Amino acid sequence: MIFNKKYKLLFLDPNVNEDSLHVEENVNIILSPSLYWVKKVSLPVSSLREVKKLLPTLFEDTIPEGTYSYSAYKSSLDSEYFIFAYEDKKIIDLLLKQNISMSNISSVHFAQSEFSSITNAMKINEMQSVYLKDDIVVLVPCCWIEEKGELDLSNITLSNHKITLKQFGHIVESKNFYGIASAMLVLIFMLLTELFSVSNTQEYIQNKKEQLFSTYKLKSTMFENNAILNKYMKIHNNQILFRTYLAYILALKLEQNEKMTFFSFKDNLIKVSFSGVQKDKTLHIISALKSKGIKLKDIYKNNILQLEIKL
Amino acid sequence: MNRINPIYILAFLLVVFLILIYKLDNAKNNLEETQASFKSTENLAIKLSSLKNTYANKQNIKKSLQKILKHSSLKSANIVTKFRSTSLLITAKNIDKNSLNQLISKLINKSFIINKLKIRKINSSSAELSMEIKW
Repeated sequence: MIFNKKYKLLFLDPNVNEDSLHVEENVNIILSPSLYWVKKVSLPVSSLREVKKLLPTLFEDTIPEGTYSYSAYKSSLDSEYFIFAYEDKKIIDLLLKQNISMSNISSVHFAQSEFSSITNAMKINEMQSVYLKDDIVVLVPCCWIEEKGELDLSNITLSNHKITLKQFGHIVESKNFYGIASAMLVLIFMLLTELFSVSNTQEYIQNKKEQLFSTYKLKSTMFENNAILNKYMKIHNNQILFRTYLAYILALKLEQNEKMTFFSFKDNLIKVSFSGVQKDKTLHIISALKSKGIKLKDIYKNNILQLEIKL
Repeated sequence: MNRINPIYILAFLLVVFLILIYKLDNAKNNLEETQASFKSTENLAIKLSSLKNTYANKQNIKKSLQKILKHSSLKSANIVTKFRSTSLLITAKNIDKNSLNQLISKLINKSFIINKLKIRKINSSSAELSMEIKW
């Protein structure tokens, strides 16, 4: 407790004037008996850990309803324990009311453990005193005791029996907290695993994409590659169309005197001439081609039908 | 009393959880984009490679053309060929209709880029031919 001696020692009591305890430095706190419930019990158990498991049951139905935390320590006698129940929120509210920040609190002790060796009654506020009865530090009205001294904390050496206040204990119980935290850790782990997997997959696909460029000798930008593809697609489509139209023209059923005398293809324009075509018979050639979806221009002169087809 | 507050730990875990969800969502979106980009690049690469192989493989085109032109059935057709750096000019002032049919059907059925074609009938059995094939 050498460490704690560095800090100021304060007695926390709900009946002490609010401003009197205002501190801005680290402090050790001794809780007034009015802030906790205490029992001295004899239990046939071997360890303090086993006692702690029993604490809620030991206080059941003997203290008012509330959200309690429990503490215990062994008395000087074997199998005898001091057991405590206290409301974290009630203590924390009182600390805040008295302008004591939680971050300034070094340790919190029960009056029971720190005043266990007092011989006389001690006045703790205007109306109440504490004194030791059957090893229990009890709170009594001042008027009950005639011989009483003032509270003197300067000679107190703090014991090892201290508690940790749970600031949000009334909202989240320890069991729930561990449950929620464990579930969240599992979820976080799962998310991290999935994130790692997604990142790896993305990296793998990126590498494969880079390999495509080298395997197919693509240009460095997709803009260039698209332009080249468009150029070849245009050539391919025109060649397919040219061959299709040529096939349609060659498949025309001509009359006995009708002959194809000229065919040319240049700059995506097909020109074809038929000789010996009667003026009233031009329609069978034109309509045969138009029925295939070919758009054409026709000129008829001197028994010659000239067709122009733009691809 | 400087123990870390459990609520702060839960809040921290919740923040980490939310950040991870956001990151995972972003990563999944990026992955979808990368997959789509890979797929489109692969399609483009395959198409481009196939088209280039068909229309721009100079060696193969030349070899294939020479094989057609040296065919025995076309020997009597008096076909004149003129290879240029990016094209081949084929001319025949008087080609019989059988040779013309053979030549045209062979060229049309291969994937050559026929840039120009001119056929003029001379008489019932022969014609004049002029043709340019590019690569």
